[in-house]
Amino acid sequence: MQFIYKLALLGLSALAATQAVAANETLVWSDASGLKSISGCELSEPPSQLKSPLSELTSRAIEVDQALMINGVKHEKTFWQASRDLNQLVFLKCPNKLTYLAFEVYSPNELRPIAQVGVHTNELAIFRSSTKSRPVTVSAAPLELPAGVQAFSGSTETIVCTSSGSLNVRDESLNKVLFTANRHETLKVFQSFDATQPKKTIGGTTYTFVKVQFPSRPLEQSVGWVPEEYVKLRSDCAGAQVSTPIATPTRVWTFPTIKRPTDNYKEGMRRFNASRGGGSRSHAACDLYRVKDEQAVAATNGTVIRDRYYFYEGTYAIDVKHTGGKVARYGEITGKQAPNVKLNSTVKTGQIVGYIGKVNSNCCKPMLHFELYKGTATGALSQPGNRYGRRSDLMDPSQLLTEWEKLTFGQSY
Amino acid sequence: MKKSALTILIILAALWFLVDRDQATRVIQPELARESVTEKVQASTSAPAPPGENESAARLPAQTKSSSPSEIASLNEMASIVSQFTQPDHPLTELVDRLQKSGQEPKIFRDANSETGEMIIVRGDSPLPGTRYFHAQYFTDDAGERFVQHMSFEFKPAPDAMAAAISAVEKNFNVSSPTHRREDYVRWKLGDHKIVWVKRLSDDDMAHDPFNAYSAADRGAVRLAVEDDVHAE
Repeated sequence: MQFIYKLALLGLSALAATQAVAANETLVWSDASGLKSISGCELSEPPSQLKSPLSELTSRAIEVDQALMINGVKHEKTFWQASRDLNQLVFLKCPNKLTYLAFEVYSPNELRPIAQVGVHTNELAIFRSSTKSRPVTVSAAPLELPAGVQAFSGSTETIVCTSSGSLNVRDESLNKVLFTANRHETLKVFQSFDATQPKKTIGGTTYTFVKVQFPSRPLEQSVGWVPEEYVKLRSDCAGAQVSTPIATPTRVWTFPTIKRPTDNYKEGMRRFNASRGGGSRSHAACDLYRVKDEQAVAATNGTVIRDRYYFYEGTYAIDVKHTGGKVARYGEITGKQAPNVKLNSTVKTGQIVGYIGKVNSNCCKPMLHFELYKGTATGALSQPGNRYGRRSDLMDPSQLLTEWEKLTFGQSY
Repeated sequence: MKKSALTILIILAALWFLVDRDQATRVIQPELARESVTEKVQASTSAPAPPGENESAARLPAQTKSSSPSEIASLNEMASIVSQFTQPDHPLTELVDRLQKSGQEPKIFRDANSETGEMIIVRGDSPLPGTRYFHAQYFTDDAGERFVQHMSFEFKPAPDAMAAAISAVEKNFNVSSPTHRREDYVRWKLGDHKIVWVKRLSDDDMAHDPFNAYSAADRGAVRLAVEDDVHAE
């Protein structure tokens, strides 16, 4: 509380400019350029009289729910994570003769720090007593792209982006309207196998047309030509962001397939930890054998944190953060989109999240490849360097699946 | 009377000719109207049906030419890119640079969340002739290093497309005998727990791809992909 009070006093001050460090300052803030902008402070060795071990600060990011103004932007909640350089904590010695431990400050959904701050080492006890935290965020290396390469934040989903309610979709001659597409309707743009992408204009107002497909429509009404200027990424189209109604919180779980698996998912190659790759790998999931194109459902309430991506041999996966903190990967599904399911959608227990697929090799029956994570780590679910090829908080879902199977079907393997 | 009856008969015959001829045309060529408005018309007396949801086997393309030398060259160039940049120590930035220098106008999509981190998708917007839909997915490991989880592209339909793609893999990847082989699908094991496969896309493959647009004219397209070996059989 004492720290938060001090934070409240200091946090409202502008943090953008480099400033001289006051004699008793608890916090010293950087600007966007980083620690070097803290006037007069230099990197130093850890102070010899640092009293308590700081190991907990290296594994958790402390939640601070005091509103802060950082570089002119108000943040209601931030996470403070001890900075590391080559796995060593970073200390600063400042002109006021005080030593500070450097922290990176994150807003809740950003992977890159929004500021860096030095915390006077005498105040670190406050952090150690903090009960609110989350796993440390590992930032990827900055992406330095060649000039002229376009980069976008968000998914690849493109939509009809018009100011009016609909858009005419024309035939190849552009003279005939085949059907109308709805505003914000998802579409995909064809790439031609030829080197040239045919572009056309129409008399009157000049438009450049592109050939598109509307995946949600029946096949005979899914392909046509539209003006390119009305095709945009969803993230670039004002008013098109997905709204996320709050799901009714429940603690009810259900089995993630609508019928019992045809084979025991705790035996043979289907079980978690089954030996793979001649013994060099271990299976990271339970394989729930069912029927091709049958529904896979959300095990409980949650949010889609990654929509369908290429997963394995012509199948896809979708990642869901579930109520209670667990993360599930629903793998080896088809590419077919489930109703009302896309990035950032909330899903409810038993809601369809995908459809069971079958891998190209036909090695096995159609299945849902179900991976479950405790939610105590962050970062990509697929990770090199361990025998599962997965993140460190991967868990054996067998026991929970057995419980859900009994709850849902009245019996279990 | 007879003249009137004859006149009526002629009129009726004329009407029948005008009305029923159209219906007859539609019956004989039920797909023509659809094809002329949705895709390049391929001259065919038996137009293929559009991709259906329940078809799992690919049908051979109708009346397409064999791949041209420039298209084969593009295929090998792309296979070379996939082979090189799915190996360690070939970072994403180098891939982007290579795509840009070959005129493919790469675009980067960064999908990030605080739970599962960052997935970067690289797509080529201006493909080499005979190829299209270059797509790469990168994740970030615990040390902050990016790694490729999937990389693929497509080769245009042709009677020799599958054979050409197989040849491109054998030429550009360090592979031995395939682990799986069918008329429409071949797969090889690579090092570093990865696989490479080529597949002639089925109607089912094309029906629900969330990234790529397809129509009936694309039947027979071949995808070449490298990805993590999830099953590791």
